[in-house]
Amino acid sequence: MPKGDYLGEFEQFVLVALLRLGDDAYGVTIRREIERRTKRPTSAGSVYATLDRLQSHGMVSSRVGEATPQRGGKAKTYFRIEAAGKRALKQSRQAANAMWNGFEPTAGIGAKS
Amino acid sequence: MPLSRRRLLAVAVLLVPAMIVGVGPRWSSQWEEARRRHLLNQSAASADTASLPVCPVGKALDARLEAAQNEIRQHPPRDLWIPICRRAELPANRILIVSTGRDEYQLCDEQLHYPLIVRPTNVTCVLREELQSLADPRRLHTFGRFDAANTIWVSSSELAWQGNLEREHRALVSLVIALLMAGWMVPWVARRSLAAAALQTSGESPSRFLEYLLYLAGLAAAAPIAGDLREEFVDEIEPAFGAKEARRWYRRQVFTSLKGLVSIQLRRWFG
Repeated sequence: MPKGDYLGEFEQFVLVALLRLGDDAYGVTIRREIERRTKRPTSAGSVYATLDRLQSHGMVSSRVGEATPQRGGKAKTYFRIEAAGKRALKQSRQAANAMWNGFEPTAGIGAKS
Repeated sequence: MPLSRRRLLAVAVLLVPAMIVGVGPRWSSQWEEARRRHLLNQSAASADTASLPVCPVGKALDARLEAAQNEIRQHPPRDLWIPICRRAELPANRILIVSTGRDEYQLCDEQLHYPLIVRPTNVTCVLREELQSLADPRRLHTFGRFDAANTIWVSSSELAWQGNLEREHRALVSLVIALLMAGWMVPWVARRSLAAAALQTSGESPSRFLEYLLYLAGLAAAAPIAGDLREEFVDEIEPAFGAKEARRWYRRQVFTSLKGLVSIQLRRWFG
């Protein structure tokens, strides 16, 4: 895998959120999922910027959904993880696991087991 | 990488104004200088300068020009160029040492009048300095000083010259382009945010200005984000925490999203 294909932390969060949400993955639900699980405040702009970047790499696809008055007449954009995204996610996970292998990821400094 | 229509348009939108701002003022300032010079030549051709006093040299000339400029400030004349004094006629049948700088002229004068040497009687020092250098380049606007038809002329108002004129033209062109772009962008963005607000049926709605900011940062890319934030505001945040807290939440969301929106827009333009 070339260097540029490794996923950043936030990109991984977004892709995992897409996997978990399935067909209901759009801006609001993705952001809420990331905030709920990571306990980290997340802006809509950073989620969309990441989705846009992943989409340009073919890891994510999107479709335009319905517009509602609550949304001021603006259509939802639904996102879906593609095979390339799943592959990149798997490789990033394996790379992280390989790095952590043999260490306990607790208390900031891993004790060799 | 093939250039798509959108990318070409983005490049044109940035490149054309950049070229206009970069090259245009150089040409227009040169044209403006040439026009002023043409007016000076016209005035010089028609003016009767015989009755003008003879110009002194060095600091005395500065004082004369300064006095003339003060007079012009108080009573601004209609014509662009005003004759101040005429250059002293060069003596005939003499050897002239022409200096273009004051130090050089002073040195020449000292040599000629040094008491211990026998000075030649047919040698004269003449100062013909560059008048443009008398204007203060640190100030944007100064009176122009030019030599035409053996007469020193001063402009009737303080104007930008040479590099300053180019800078002034550049600032003006940039302002016009910025206004044109704003004139195109502002109504587009305002229409979008107003249309969204009109669809809202009841209850509190997010700030129109902040939504406008989103569109300004992300243009078309802002629509889904604006929709998401509006949906969360109306359905969840405002009913749960009240209008004041919801507005604060919305404001925070908009400001933290601006950077992401700008990066999306730049990626769409330049890949």
